Parts: sequence; C-alpha cells; structure tokens
Amino acid sequence: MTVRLRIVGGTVHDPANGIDGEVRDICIEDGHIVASVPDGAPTIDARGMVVMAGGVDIHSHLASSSCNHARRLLPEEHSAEPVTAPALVDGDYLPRSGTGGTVPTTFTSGYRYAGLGYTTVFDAAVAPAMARHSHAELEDTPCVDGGFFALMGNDEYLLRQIAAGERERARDYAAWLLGSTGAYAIKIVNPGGIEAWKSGQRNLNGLDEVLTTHGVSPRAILETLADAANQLRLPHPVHIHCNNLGQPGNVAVTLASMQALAGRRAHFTHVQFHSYGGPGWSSGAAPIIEYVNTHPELSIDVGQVMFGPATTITADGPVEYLLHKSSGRKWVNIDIELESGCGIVPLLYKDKAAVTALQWAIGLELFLLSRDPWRVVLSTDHPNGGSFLSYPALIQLLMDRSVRDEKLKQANPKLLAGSALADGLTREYTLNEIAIITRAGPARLLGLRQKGHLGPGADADVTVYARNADIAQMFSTPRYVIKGGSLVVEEGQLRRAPAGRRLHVRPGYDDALLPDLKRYFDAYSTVAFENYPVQGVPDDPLPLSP
Amino acid sequence: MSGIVAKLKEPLGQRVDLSEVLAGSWATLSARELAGRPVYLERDGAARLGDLFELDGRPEGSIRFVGQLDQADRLGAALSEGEVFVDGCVGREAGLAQAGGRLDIHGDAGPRAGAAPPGFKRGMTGGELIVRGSAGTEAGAAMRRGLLVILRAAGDRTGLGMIAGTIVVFGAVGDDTGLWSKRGSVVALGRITPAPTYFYACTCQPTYLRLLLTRLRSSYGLPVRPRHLNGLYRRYSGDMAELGKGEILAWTSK
Amino acid sequence: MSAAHQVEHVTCLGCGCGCDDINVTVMDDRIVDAIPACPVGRAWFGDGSVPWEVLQGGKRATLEHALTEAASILTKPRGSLLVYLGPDLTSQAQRAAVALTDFLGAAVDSATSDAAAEGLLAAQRRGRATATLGEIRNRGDVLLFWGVDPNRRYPRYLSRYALEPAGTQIPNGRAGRFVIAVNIGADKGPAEADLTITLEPSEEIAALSLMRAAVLDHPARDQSPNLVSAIGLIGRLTSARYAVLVHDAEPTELPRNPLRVEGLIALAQALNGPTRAALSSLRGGGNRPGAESVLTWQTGYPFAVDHSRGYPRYMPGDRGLDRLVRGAFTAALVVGSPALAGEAAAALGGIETVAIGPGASRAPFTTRVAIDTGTAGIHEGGTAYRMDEVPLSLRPPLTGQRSTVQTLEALMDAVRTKRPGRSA
Repeated sequence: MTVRLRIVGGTVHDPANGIDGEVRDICIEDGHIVASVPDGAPTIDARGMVVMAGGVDIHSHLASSSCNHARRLLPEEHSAEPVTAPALVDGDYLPRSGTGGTVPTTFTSGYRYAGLGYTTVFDAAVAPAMARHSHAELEDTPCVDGGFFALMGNDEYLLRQIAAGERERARDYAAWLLGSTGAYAIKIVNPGGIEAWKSGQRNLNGLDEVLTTHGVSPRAILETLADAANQLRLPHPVHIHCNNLGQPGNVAVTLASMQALAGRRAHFTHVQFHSYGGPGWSSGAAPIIEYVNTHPELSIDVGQVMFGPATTITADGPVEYLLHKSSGRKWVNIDIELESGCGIVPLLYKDKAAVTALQWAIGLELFLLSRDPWRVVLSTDHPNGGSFLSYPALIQLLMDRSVRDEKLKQANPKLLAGSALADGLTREYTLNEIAIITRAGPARLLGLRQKGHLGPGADADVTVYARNADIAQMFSTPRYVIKGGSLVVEEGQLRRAPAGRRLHVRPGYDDALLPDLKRYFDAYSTVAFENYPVQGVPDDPLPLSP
Repeated sequence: MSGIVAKLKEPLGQRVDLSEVLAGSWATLSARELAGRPVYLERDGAARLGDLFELDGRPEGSIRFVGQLDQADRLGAALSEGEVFVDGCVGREAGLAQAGGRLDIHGDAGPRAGAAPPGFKRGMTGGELIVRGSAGTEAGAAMRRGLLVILRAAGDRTGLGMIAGTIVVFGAVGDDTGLWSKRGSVVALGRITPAPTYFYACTCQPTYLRLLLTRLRSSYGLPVRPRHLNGLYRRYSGDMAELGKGEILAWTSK
Repeated sequence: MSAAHQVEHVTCLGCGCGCDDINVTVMDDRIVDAIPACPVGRAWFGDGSVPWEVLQGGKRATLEHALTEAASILTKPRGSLLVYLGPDLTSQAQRAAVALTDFLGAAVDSATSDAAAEGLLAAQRRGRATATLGEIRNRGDVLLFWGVDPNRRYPRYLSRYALEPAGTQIPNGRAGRFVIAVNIGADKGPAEADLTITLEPSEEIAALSLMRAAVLDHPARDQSPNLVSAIGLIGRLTSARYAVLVHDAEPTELPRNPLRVEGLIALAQALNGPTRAALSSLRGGGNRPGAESVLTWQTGYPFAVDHSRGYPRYMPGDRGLDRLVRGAFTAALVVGSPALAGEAAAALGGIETVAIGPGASRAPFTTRVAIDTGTAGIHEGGTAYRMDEVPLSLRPPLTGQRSTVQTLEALMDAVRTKRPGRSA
C-alpha cells in the first residue's frame, strides 16, 4: 500500500536545490520525495514553520566497540540519567528504555538523534576487526540510517605494502577491507602514530618522521590512502584525523598534511583539535581556514568544543595517555591487533579553563572565517568535544552573535588575546547556511545523492522546526521529523522508531591480493582469514562515484 | 521532640532500598510529603515511605528513624542537607555518596557506609556521617570530601581508594585501611597496621586534629579522651602506590 | 550410515580463547572429531547431541501452547521477574533476551562470575590498559603470569597467543619472550617460566602496591624477602618493549583477595609510563563477554541490571542469583544452558520458571515451561565474543531443530499479545 504525505505551507530551506526560504509544499510517496501527491493525501500543516532535509552527521562516535568500552566506563553518568522507553504508537516498534550521559545506550542514541531532526549518522572510527560489533550496535540504533568508517592509517598489512612501494596492492587491500567489513569510507587516525604508540616509539611528531618498525612516514600513509579512496571512486574521500591532536603548535603538521595532499580530494576531521599555535597555546584557526577556503578539493568538519561534560574516545592511543596523565581521570587503552587502538578518558570542559576557552574560540573561528559552508561541516566529534545534544546550542552560537558574545565574556580570556573571536567576529549564520553545514554539505561530501536535500527522488528524511526567537530551543525540539517517509517525531513527541538502513560500499579489487593476504593472516592474525569478513551485511552497497 | 519522626510500623521482613527517601532536597518537606517518598521492597516492589513508617512532627530540617532497620539499605544515600538520626542499626551502604548534611547512626552500619556505589569513582563528597557502633567493610571507600566517624570497630578496606576527606575511627580498624588513597586523612585512635606503602613520617600532635576531636566531643558528645587530645600521633604518609599525599594518624601512648 | 563431512574454521567456545581454526568432522548429525581442539574444546563440542523437546508442566506440549503459557507466566500483573542469561548464547540471542527483559520490566543478570564482576567494577573505577590477544602474540616480549597457568583451563592460550607463536615484533616466538611466573600460594604460574617467584596470599596486595610504587619511583621501606623479589620484577617489566600481565578473571577453587584484579589493573596502567603494557584477563567459555557487551550497549551496564522501575538500574552489589535465593522473584526466565545448581536451582524450582536453551528440558530444577534450543557455535550461528572482547563469527557444524533467537522472538510476540503496552 502506497504511503503518501504532503507537508503544507512550510518555509523550505533546501540549498542543494537552490531553495532559500520559499514557502512550498513537500510531497512524500513510499519513502521518497516526489513532485506531487494526489489531493486527499494526508497532510502536515507546516505553515509558519521551517522545513529542511533531515540532518546528516558526518563524524560521530555512537556505535563501536570503543563507544561500548566508554559506556561501560561511565556508570555514574548512566545512573544520573536513566531514560524510560518512549511512548511509541502501538504495533511495529518495541519501545526501549536506556541510559543517557555523554555516551548513551544505542536505542537512546537513535531516539535522541531523531529528536534533533538528524536522520543519518556515521561512526567515524571502527577498527575493521570490530566491524561485526558496530553492525550489531547500528541494528540497535533506530531512526537513523547509519554507517561507519574503517580505520586504516596504522594497519600492519597496509604499512607493509607502503614500505614495499606496493601502492596498488594497498589500494586493493583497502577495497577488500571496506567490502569485507561493510564499511563506508577510509579513516586515518594519527597516521603511523598509533603503531608508534604500540611499538614503544610512543608517537610520531612530524609528517616525515618515520616509523622505526616499518620505515614509513605519515606523509606516505596519507598519500597512499587518499589516492586509494579517489582511485576506488569511493563516495566519501579519505577521512583524516591528523597527527599531534591536541598539542600546541600542531597547526604546522595540519597544514603540512593538507599541503601533502594538494590536488587530491580529502576530508580533514575535527580540525579544531588540530589548529593550535605554538609553542605556547594560541589560535591557529586563521591559517587553517584560509588554506581550506582556497583549496576546493578539501573539506573539514570542525569538532567544536562545548562547555560541559564530554568523553574522549579515539583510536589515538598516545593522546589519551597524555590526557590521562594531565587530567588524572580514569583511562582506558586497548591495543587492537594489526590494525589500530582505542583510548578513552572522560573530561569536563570548563569555560573558566584557559585552554578549553581557547579550544571553544578556535572552533567558532573556523566556522565564522569559512567562506564556503559546503566544505565546513558542523560537528562536535561527539562525544569528544561535547554531546551531539549540544548541536542546537552550537547552531545558536553561530546564528546569534549576542549569545556568542555573552558566552565569550564568561570564558577565561587568558589565551584569547589576538584571536579573531576576541577581536570581534560579527558574522551570523543564516538558516540557509545552517541547512548547508548540517545537511546539504555533509550529504554532498559523503556522496549521498539521496540525502541532504528535498528534490524529487531524495529519501524522505525531513525535519520541520517551529520558529522560535531562541534558536537553541528551535533546533532542539523539531515539531515533526520524517525518516524514510515514516513520521518519527509528531508534535514534538517521538512516535515511531523505524530501523535505519546500513550505508556501506563494496569497491572492486584485484583478486591477486587474496593469496598474499591469506598468508599474512595465517602468519599474524588470531582470526582466520575465512572468518574475518562480516556475515549478513545487507547486499545493497551504495553506488561508487562516477 | 523537634523535627520529623519516622517510626517503623512493623518489622520489615525483607530488604528495603531507601536510596530515594532523602536524596536531594527534603528538609522542608512535611511528614505527609515525606511519607510519599518512594521506597523499594525486595519482594513486594515499589512502595511509599509512609507504607512502612508512621511519620509525624514538623519539618525543622531533621528526621529521626525509629525501629529495627538492619535490613534497610542506602539510608541517607546522596544526602545533601539536614540532620538524620537513626535509633539503631542500619543495612548496607548507609550514606552512600553522601554530599552534605549530617547522618548520625546510633548503632552499627553494614558494608560500604559513606562509600561510592560499586563501580563509581566517588564516594562521600561532603557532610558528616557518624556511626556510633561498628562499620562493615569498605566504609568511606573512594570518599572525596567530608567526615566519617566510626565509634567502634571499622571493617577491612576502610577508606579504600580515598580521594580526600577525613575518617576517624575510635575502635580497631581492619586490614588495608587507607589502601590506595590519593589524599585524605585516616585517624586511628585504636589499633591499626598501616599498609607497607604507607611510610612512617614523624610523631606529632596535629593542631587541626585537636580542633576536630574537640568539635566531635562538643557537637556529637563523642567520648574523646584527654589522651586523644593531648596524646601523640604517628604520622604515616601514603599510599605510595598512588599520589602518596594521604596520611594515617595513629594515636600512640608513647 | 551417511558419509562423514567436514566443517572447517569452526569457532570453539570451550574457553574464552575463541580458537576459530577447528576442523569438525560430522557423521549422522553427530560430531565425531574436532581438530586441533584441546581437551576443553573437545568436551565443549562433545558429540553435539542435545534434546529437542518442548515441555509444559513437565509434559510434552506444542511450541505454540508452551509459548502462550510462558507468556502468561511472564506477564502476571503482580510479582517480580528475573531473566538469567546462561553462558552459551549467541549475542543475537542475548539481544533478544534483553529486549524481553526491558519490555517486561524484569531484572537481568548473566553467567558473569563474581570474580569477573570484580574486574569489571575495578575497570569502571580506574579504566584499564589492555590489548587484544593478537597484540600479545605480536608484541609481548615480557609476559608475567600472576597466579595462573593457562595450561590448566585455557590450554591453547600459550600456543596461540602468548608464548610460542612468532609475531610481527617477536620473529623468534618463544625465544623472543621472557616469561615470569608469580605463584600466589597454591595459584601457580606456568612451569615453563624463565623466572618464578612465590608470594604468600597475605603478601599479594602489598606486593602489587609496592610494585606500582616502584614503577612510579615512589620510595619504598624495607620489606620481607618475598616482597623484595616482587619489587625486583619491575626492572624486568620496565625494560620490556611490551609487557603483558596475565591473570585468571574467573574463580578457582582457592579463595582470592578481591583486590587482586584492581591491583593488577593499576599496575598495568602505571607501567605505560616507562614502557608499554597490557593486562590480559582470562575468561571462561561460552559467550560471557558477549552478555556484558550486549547489556552495556542496550542498558549502559555490563551485568546485574534491573528494569523494574522502567529504566535500567545497576545493582552490581546485589547479583540476580543472590536476590533469587533471598526470594526476591516470583518468576524467572532462564535463557541458555540451565546449568545452575545448589540454592539457585532450588530457588528456581520454587517459583514459576521458564527455561529456553540447550538442555532446558533436562534442567536440574522444576520448570513450568521448558523449550530446548541449540548451543551457540554448535547448532547456532551468529556472534560470540572472545575473552579480549573481539567479536567472532560462529560456523555451527550441526543444524539445530529450533533456534534460540527465533524462540525468544516468538515468545516476545506471545508476550506482546498478552500485554500490548509496556509494564513500566
């Protein structure tokens, strides 16, 4: 039976289709946007409201073994925020209780993302060996289409191919890994640095410092995997977390990494954490964003720090060790064989702390100095810079200068001297720019042709916001959220929790790889080559780029 | 008798969780309002405080529990204000993660009085917890701030993993007292054998201790003797397996 | 008499090692060989024969009737319910069982032993420094076995992971590793150790504290000879490139100081200052870490979770079976092998109990409803977690007659027809 819906009279912001605040109807049929539906189709009265495509989170940590280790580490947060099951319409959906905090349980994460009007989310860091776990968590994360990026920047087999100059084999291996694990994109975390941490070299501090174990440099890793992603025509380019995250002066290695990939498509993630001047602490946002502004092949997400509780979860083991030593907070480190690592430290970002205030300012500078919103995506690197629940507050900081200046007044000014924000940035984002950095932009950067817009053929992921002078209020409580044509949020209440679709790719590769790979597995892996690929990934990979 | 009095109607006959009775703000609540606070019986499930206790009196910032409560767990958990008196013994985890106020137990306390909930980083973060009988194991475990006084014996692992705060034990303390503490003070007026990662530093007469003991005598009427006030204390610093900024002060006749 | 056939790369859940290189020979729906399974593994597989009955009040019944009866028991308006997760469930079955728990407002606990639970709690207080088994194989050059010889209960741990095999950074295998055994009273380390020291149980916690103090370069006062030799191990550990501490997270016959695991966690973390180090916690068979993983992502807590207030509540100080024995529950759903004895079995026999799992019909306690299903990894495919929490895929060599997941889902349907809304 055909399911139809007409969203009537809303003010539509659909920048991908050049629509900036026009009053028009949005029609839905069988889970997709269509040009029109017959009269008599059910309607939603959106008059006076703002209509956008469903939000797209390009970089989150919500469904991985690392997230689950973090959940396990936080009983204090969970018991402080118990979550009863939502009152869903009877029938198809089993309403689930859970717990909140910075790393909520999976069902609660899905409900809360939908509650913010987000309908597509990617987990940005999954060790391939743990992919099976991420698929299970995603199955238990309703209301959002989801996928994950596979960690490759410290992969033993890959490092060996790079050391041997076998870049085609490296590319074939990347393709095999993506297809075998049901991943969506290639992720690099601290290229070479995790292997250095595991081998006793501790870390790599420059783009050309080589791994003593492999004689490979971060530069070679970046080039190899950026080329692989582009040659494999992956919908999303290589997704890069640079070296020296969180260290004063890391702006140098961040810029060098961007320059190293000159001319190649690449996405640099949570750049706020990589834009620190040095040797002391200062803002390095200006040179970074200026470079991004003038290099259309690059895109970034910001990784904004928001004042309040956070939990840092990353494959970047050496960073978490330093964070543990400096904060004295509890600390998890898990070295993951042949592939990656995992570090976790809970944190509290205080506006009275000088470095935190600087991090907060740098993130905002990246947003406010950017000239192309299509390539600068909103993120908090959930939950590293703050929970995704703080997106509405972040949107308010971008759209409302008075609120921003108030917060700035309360923040510790010690390290803000000379920062662009302290000098006064007057820019205020428009609703259309918000629609770009939260939907249209990330969808385009992810190569998701059916997401992030409201043109005919697009997935029927739609969010309807009631206007409110309080921007944070407006974006935290959408009046309606539609996911794949299903009315998930109705009158501000979560009413349906449909399962999301798995977003993954399956690029081709040269089978000549396999015999060598099997020999490698037999020699070093504790999981049989035959048992490594994830079973049961839906047979519906997304198309590769043309 | 001022304040609220809560008299147990009949013997409990099963364990009951009182963790939500005094958590957060309660001191201004009337007897009727307090009677509506939720309690959880192990077999019979959710109930109201008023189902188990006869409550009367006027809200004056204090409540006195009367009756045999050794099966009542988590009494005064997350307490943050007011004065709570218990005429008798209580079950496990009394004053769990207490944040403020006074909890004065005229009897024994079960395991983990003033401690952190299992798996949690922090125990008591403030207030004063007085156990006028003996305390079970792990009293004051992971304590972060505040004062815990035990009049008789304290069980093993008292003050385990203390972050800060003060514990005073009049009787003997069990093994591994103060083990893995970061900061904080354990004052032992009775017998104690400090863990080997505690170091003898000096024998002294700390002024703050004299003031503290004097206050315990005046405000709680605790049996602080002249020998405690004027005696010497062997100071051990530790735990060297952690920060090493904590101390054990052991009263010594010499 | 049908011909034998082989199923390769089968994952063994006999202990937590999760060896996935087993070649199983099947003849007439019976397992006749499993190579290179160890004795523990062969015992785990057995011949793979399990009963396939459905009982209601001890008598044969149709699945439909049994599920309806089970649903009415589990949805009684009054009373409190325990869901117990046995050790031998796939994570898919664990997820279905926890969904029931949530919907029914029940308490749920698992086969996670009290000793293992101590480790989970200590890791919640401090975090932990650990590694997957392959890292130990590829990097561990100094291995310290704290009161455990894996050969006893985890027979292939040394040959597959920790000791003999060559690794990426340990090209010479055993010759490239230095092995230390620390005997704690009768808890002895491996005989093949290069260095062995012995501690009295009463010295254990002091030793762990003093070793950590030494790593932190904090002063030490004079100690007994045993403790001095323990402190002496720190030189070996800090000069390692990658030190590995190994302990048994599961209980043994011998009493154990409850602080052992926290002491080891803290020592392993501290060793990451001067060098790199990981703590390897040996876990028992089945899919115990899977239950902890599923409970964590669905409720936020790894074991001992109570949904009776409409949301997950953590009760690690009061395990489900202890509450059961104290009479806290009026009905129970036991999922997986009903391998419970003593007071717990007696208590289950005294209340309305539904058992779903391998050998449910032979449960050592009276059941109102018993539905036999298959065993994870023998009759049922899916996912199980290794002791290091690496998720493994299962290749069942036998085909079961009734799957645990489908049975639990059918039970959920029956429950939801009895009680459309949630209990909370």
